[in-house]
Amino acid sequence: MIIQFIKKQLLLMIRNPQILLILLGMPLILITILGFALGGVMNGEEVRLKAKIAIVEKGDSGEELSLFLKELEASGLPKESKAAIAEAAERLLPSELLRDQVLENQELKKYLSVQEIEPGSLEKVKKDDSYSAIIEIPEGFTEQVLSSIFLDEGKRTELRLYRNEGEELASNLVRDLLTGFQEQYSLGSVMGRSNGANFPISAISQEVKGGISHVEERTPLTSTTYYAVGMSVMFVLYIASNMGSFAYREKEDHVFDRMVLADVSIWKYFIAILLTTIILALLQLGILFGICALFYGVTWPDLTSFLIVTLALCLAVGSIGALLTSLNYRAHSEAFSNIFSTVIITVFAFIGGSFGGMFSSDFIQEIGSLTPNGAGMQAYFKIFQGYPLSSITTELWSLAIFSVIALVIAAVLFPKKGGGAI
Amino acid sequence: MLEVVSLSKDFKKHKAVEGVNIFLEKGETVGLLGPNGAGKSTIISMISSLISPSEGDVRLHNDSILKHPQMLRKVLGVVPQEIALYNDLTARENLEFFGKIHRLRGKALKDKIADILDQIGLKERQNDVVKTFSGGMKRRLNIGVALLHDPEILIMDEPTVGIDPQSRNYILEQVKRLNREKNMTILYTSHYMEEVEFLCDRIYIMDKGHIIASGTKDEIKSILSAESTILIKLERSSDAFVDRLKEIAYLKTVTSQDKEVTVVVPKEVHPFNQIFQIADETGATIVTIDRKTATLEDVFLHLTGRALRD
Repeated sequence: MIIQFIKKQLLLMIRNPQILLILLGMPLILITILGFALGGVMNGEEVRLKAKIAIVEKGDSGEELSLFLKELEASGLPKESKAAIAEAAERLLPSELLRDQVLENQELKKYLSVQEIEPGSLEKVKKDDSYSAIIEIPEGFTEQVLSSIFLDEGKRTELRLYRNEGEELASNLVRDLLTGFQEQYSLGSVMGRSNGANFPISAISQEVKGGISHVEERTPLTSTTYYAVGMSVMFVLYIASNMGSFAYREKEDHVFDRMVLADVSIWKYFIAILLTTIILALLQLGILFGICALFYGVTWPDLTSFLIVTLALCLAVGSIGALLTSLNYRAHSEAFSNIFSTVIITVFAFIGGSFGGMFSSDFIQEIGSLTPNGAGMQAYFKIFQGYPLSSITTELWSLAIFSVIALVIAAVLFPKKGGGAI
Repeated sequence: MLEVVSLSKDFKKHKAVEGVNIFLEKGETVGLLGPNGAGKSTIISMISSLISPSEGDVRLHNDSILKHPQMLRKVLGVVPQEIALYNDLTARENLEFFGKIHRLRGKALKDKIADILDQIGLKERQNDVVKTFSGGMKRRLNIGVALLHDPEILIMDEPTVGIDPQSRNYILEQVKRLNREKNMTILYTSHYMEEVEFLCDRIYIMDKGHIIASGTKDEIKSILSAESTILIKLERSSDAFVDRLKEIAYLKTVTSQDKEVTVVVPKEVHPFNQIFQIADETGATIVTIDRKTATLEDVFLHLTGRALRD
């Protein structure tokens, strides 16, 4: 019977151009438009990610080194230590290391464009939107950092970073680089002191490469990938509302009565609705992702994980379909399907992130990750970026719990008597 | 074979059906006649176990089917008043889907579909989607679906509503044939007197949830054997004329619809002269006047004071 249901439902949908347009046409159109229109914002291709950085040094690292050496000479350290520290300090000037090992690094050059700016131009540069970030090295930074590290003296000081919020990806990259540099510089210094002043410069360099390597090792999310997933997980929800409406019309048109008279049990019908919705959702996602793979090159590195997420998402859609059917039957109208397709899917799409991260509030993002489309989307992204299956257990649990709750409510609400009585 | 015993149904405070008794013998065609809202569809829903009665019982071969509706569903075919079909599927696809729902498979299903398409005259249009069909073709397919599992009892709820006379005649002939050739027991509801007169051996007349008369056609018509009906057609409708007729004590019932006035009188009474005199006095012009023998319509009018299609 289930096969008859699926066949019948497929025929009904195929012969309804309006539904086909919603289920397949609209998502493909939106993937194409959003994917290409916003390509510059999100495209993960290497050439597209270019951070223009201004660096402003307010002091003079040479003079500050001389100052530090005088302090060192005045300290009570043994003569051998003083010589070793002096030699190390000359090699470990923080501002020079930042320039040589990070900003001028060969690996990073294709992502970064660095310009030295005079301190007097800082305010002007701050107003220039073309910069992704400005690094300000405060006066006395070199002397204070060296004193702090080698003599346990001096005030703690920090580099200052101005980020251009309009260039989120690029400015985040600069922030990550600086954080990594600061951490490794401190770590290297501590290690160097315990080993007697043999500073592990190579370790700093290695880590800096590591900092960028996380951008490279994980497959970047292109805008086409983002919207292929975002639109698919959004539009698959329309299968549920359509099934709810179809089921209600079967009751209204007395077709459901024919099934009751043919001794089809209520629960068999309920399960048929659930399974039909799941299978139609699988077909829809299969078609959408198949087209995206063929025409937009959105391919999945781990097909097993991809299928597991797809199944979990389709189960959630199936339970929504069953829930809407129950609610429509109870309300004696299609109202619940209509509210779901016009209001709830839109809300889910926005908070779940189908149109990009529109909300900065952690709370809304948390709620969004609990929606079936939000959870499905996050899981798909992780798989796409090469994360293992174990990293998406939260999303899978979220989808499973959602499905169980929706199914239980649907089963409780589903009228237990058939035909005109319901 | 099938017996409805003291069946009642309450919808909140409204009593849709009250104390209805009906029986059907094997191979007979029984009519359930009544105006819209009389409770015919509610009775059919209760017999088909689609809704539960508030009181009473439905028995098949003396066994109650209320707790075990499966017993009846195996032998029952129902043609609902609504077109209960998938409009976006073809006639064949509809028959295939419902056939499989009735657990028909393979050659048996194929042969059955071919047979039904032949019976309902839709062989040529079997691969067209239902929404392209005329009202009459949809009605025929609606009947065809109910015949898929070879039911012994067929309940037809106003199967000719809203269709052209040609399709109506086709359906009536098919119902006659089903009864004659397959010895099918049929319960046929309608508010068309002529259909019930044409098809049925026995008739139940319903009004406002009650059976108000039952029996063979002749038995029911004999209710009016002591009376006859006079039909008057006026040039223009005249309330004054009708009101004056109502004042005459020996005229048992006087009803009017637009320019037509119907009067029921005792058989021995001949009131033509008096009717013409009243017409003169009230300024009404009689176009035709005719005395006729009783029909089921007259019986209904006599029993309820209303025409069937009021």
